[in-house]
Amino acid sequence: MEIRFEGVQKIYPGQVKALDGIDLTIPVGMYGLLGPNGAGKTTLMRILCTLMEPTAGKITVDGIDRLVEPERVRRILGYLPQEFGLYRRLTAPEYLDFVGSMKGLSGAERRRQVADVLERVNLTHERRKPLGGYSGGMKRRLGIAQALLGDPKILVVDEPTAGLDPEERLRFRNLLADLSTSRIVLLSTHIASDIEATCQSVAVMQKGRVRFTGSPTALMQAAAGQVWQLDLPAAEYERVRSTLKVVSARRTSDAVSLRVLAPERPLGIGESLPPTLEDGYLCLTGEGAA
Amino acid sequence: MTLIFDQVALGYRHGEPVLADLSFEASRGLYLLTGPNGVGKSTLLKAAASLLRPLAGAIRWRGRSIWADPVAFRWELGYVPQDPLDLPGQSARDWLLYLAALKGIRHLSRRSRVDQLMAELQLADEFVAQYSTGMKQRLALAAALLNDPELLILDEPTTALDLEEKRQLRARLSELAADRLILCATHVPEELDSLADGHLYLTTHGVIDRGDPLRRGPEDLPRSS
Repeated sequence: MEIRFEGVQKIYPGQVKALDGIDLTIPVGMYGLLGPNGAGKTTLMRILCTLMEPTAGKITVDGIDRLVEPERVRRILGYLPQEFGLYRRLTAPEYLDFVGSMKGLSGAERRRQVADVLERVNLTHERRKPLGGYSGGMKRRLGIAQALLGDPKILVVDEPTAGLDPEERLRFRNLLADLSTSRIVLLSTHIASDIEATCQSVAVMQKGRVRFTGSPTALMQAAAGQVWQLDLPAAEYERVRSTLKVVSARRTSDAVSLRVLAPERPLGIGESLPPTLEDGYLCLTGEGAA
Repeated sequence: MTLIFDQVALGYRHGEPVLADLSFEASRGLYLLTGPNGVGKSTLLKAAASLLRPLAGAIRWRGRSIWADPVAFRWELGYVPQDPLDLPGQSARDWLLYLAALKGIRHLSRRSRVDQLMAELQLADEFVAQYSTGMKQRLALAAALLNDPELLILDEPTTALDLEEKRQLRARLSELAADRLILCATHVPEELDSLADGHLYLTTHGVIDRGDPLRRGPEDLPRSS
């Protein structure tokens, strides 16, 4: 099973190119999607989920032509959008029962699946509470529960960990990793550690194009030999700071300790550091990367 | 330049306090406030920003209760709330000029201060409705910095920013932290850890001061249950 995008374009009115020729093959497992705000990640996901039509290109999902048979794709796909509405007065089983009936699940099968997905996302003990009283993490888990109804082979989750606290994020990541053993899970995020911890593969999008595909380790290597530790007196730092690409800085009273990206040893005094995934991403997408 | 919470109890309406017996002290530098969802981080920040009066205890800035003269306290305060700005039909520059007037910045210096901040934070003079999430976040920061505050309070400033925007925010915060106190709530502490001068971990039992991260690594910190 795989998802295949070939030459996918999306042009919005006013000739705005949201997607500019996307070629991407996504196998079973966790697949991360990184990229600046406005790179086209959500557009790509919405097109995959049949919520939007591409201007050009071809998409096949487990052998099904997405443009010709969107209904068949919808049947094997679950989607958790960035923002989704909830009925505040419903309980989780009531809400899921409603979503299940929209997905065409009937009677006994629906009841069985609702109980099953509630258990999977660890919300069974909250089943009597109205959704208005749910925390951010609980809402996200309920979002995954509704996406899981109908046992889809493909899960598409758009920035699911934004706003979750560290512990909820960890739990949510583990849940997705668990689900990805037999499914395709396509995950977009702005949190580098989400990708490092869970994804076998990652794609970096920028300005509607795919800039990189490969393993998280390969993405790190995009910054190999370009990450430097630099300690400067505060006055010296003031003089040179506009010339440095600073990943992070820590000030003491009269000095600054910096992590810097540069193709060569900055100011001739930097100490080389091993790259992180974030360094690799910043090198790849940064203007100074060429 | 020290902020002190002294056995503070916080809550809404006349109900049970959300937080009780909060005590901590923070001075110059960047302090990260972390803790589970719903524990009351935003409530604590609102109280520090004089938007919520404590039910008990005292909040002191420079040795004086912030409620002794809240107007004077707010001259020294900048606050960036969690919710993104939504200002349809208003240009960024007009909005900043209006806020500058509200903050009591003198007419003659208003324009130059606004222009300076817009240049520093790379803000285009467009309608705010056309701004990207990252620009809205920078605009909210510009608004908080108008009066060059010595106490800057930020509630989840990295949410919705992409990795490059987060990098720029880090560089900016390390500059700002050199000569003021920044209290910053975050759910992703690893994104800001490298700049932090102190950590405050909020549990339902009150703040646990985790001190200087250089002296105490994250590995010996208590895990919430």
